[in-house]
Amino acid sequence: MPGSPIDRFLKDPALTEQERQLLLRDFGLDQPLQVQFVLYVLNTFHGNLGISFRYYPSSVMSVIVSRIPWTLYLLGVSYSLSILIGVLLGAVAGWRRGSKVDMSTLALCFITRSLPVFWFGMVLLLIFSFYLGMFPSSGAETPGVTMDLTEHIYDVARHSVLPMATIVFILLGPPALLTRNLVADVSDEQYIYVAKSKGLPPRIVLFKHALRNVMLPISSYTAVLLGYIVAGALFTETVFTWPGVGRLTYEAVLTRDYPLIQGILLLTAVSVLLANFLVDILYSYFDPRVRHQ
Amino acid sequence: MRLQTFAEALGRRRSAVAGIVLFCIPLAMAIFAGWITPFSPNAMVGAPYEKPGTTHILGTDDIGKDLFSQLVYGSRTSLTVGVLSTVIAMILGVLVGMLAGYSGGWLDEVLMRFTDVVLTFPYLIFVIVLIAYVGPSIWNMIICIGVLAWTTIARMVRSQVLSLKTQLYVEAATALGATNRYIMLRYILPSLTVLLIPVAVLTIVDGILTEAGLSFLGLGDLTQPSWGLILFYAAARGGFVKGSWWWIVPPGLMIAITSLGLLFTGQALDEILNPRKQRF
Repeated sequence: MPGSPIDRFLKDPALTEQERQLLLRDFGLDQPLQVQFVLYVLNTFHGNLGISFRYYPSSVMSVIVSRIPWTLYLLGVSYSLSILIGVLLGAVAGWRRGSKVDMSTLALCFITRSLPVFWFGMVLLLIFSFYLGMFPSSGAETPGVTMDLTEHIYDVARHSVLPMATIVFILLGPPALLTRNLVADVSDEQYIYVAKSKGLPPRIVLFKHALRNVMLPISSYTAVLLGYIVAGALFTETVFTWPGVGRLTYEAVLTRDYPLIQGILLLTAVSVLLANFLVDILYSYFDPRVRHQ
Repeated sequence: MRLQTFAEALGRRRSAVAGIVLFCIPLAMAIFAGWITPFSPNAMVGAPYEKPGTTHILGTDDIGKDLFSQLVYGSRTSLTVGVLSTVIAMILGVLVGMLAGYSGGWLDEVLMRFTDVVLTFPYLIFVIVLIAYVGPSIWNMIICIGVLAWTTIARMVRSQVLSLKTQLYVEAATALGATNRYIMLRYILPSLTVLLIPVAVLTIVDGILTEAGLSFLGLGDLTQPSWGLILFYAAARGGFVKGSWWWIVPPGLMIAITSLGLLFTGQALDEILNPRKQRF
């Protein structure tokens, strides 16, 4: 299955010798490797990621950009949801250590850690799409149907329930576990006793006093989660044939579309770095001590 | 710690016992595969798309291969890839971490920055692309997972070495004229092992999950039965259209059982071996 990009063209029997040479020249594949590399680096700095083999003659950049909105939508919503639910669950669990909520949260963390994302997606698909017929099984919208805006939104929402549920469930564990342990640690601190003895309702103590101090390490941890979500996106989008960047990566790998693979790798690394940078800035916003140093 | 006290400490923890029992299921499957199932996983032994029955406990796939046999033999692939990739990751991680932590200076700087670079790339995408270049086979999977999974281990080892280095007994050894190599091998490495055993168990889980993922994407070894591969075929060849839960559910359950068993065991080992460590 593996092969050099040149093989890909040379072995296509539909091409005449002339067309083959022309294609090789257009892609710069007739040049020696070191020249190809210098060209690649120069072009990259000009924002030119080359031309996709598979979607010829579209440029890599335009292919990726056309997929980004779907991925941003899917990941944005499920990422926020999983952090929100995870932190709330972890806070309650850590506040009442040893309780039923705590035990079930811990069990949930272990289970989500041990399941493959794609399998969870497949089981959801089997139950809710095949057996119950509640949700569509693939894609992000129903093709070939003219809809007005509200119908379209409803259609996309129906398509996104299962993929989102998959990512949220798989990503829930780490933030829940972290919050649980941090809240459990904090709940023995003096200021919590003070807050309690002032007669504040427990809910206020938990969310306004305990959770607030714990938000710092959690906010820096959200950057770590970004690394996980990239993998989650790839598998989830593949299982649900979601038209995003994750599925594009998979297709690019399968079809040996090297320019596209390189482009996606580069953009993924850059966006993960950027997101990390953003989290650092947010951190200094949450914690003034960092700013003054 | 003596072996007997260690075994007793393990036995006292319900989670440890549960973990070991769970892990014994895939282990037994891997060792006694030939006794458990009479069918070869790669032979066409029945009609296509058979439902679970007395001959074929989990039915057959689209070309009449016995699914239960594939499940049983698949444990071999998962465990092999998980364990061997962990061995590679541990060797690399310990090597880099010890060199960086013990030598300090520019070597430390270079090694740790390199570790940061590898860590920046989303691990799984990197493995997928690497596999796509070198081609799918069990050994390539083991090597690719191993050479990308060492980074967190290296970081941990380095910070541990930094603190061990300042211990009095190391200082005493240096004063007695022990060479750096001697101190690293005789003093630092043994203290590291207790810390590394639980980490190794968790790394095996990651290896198993990554192998399943790669095989599911069709980037694994297509000639060896594997849990991920069963799911790949189920998705590609009509497991959904026919609603065959017996094709889709069992492989995932096996992965979950194996990972859960290892996670519980690793957690318990960590609590026993490193009682004073702060846990997050």
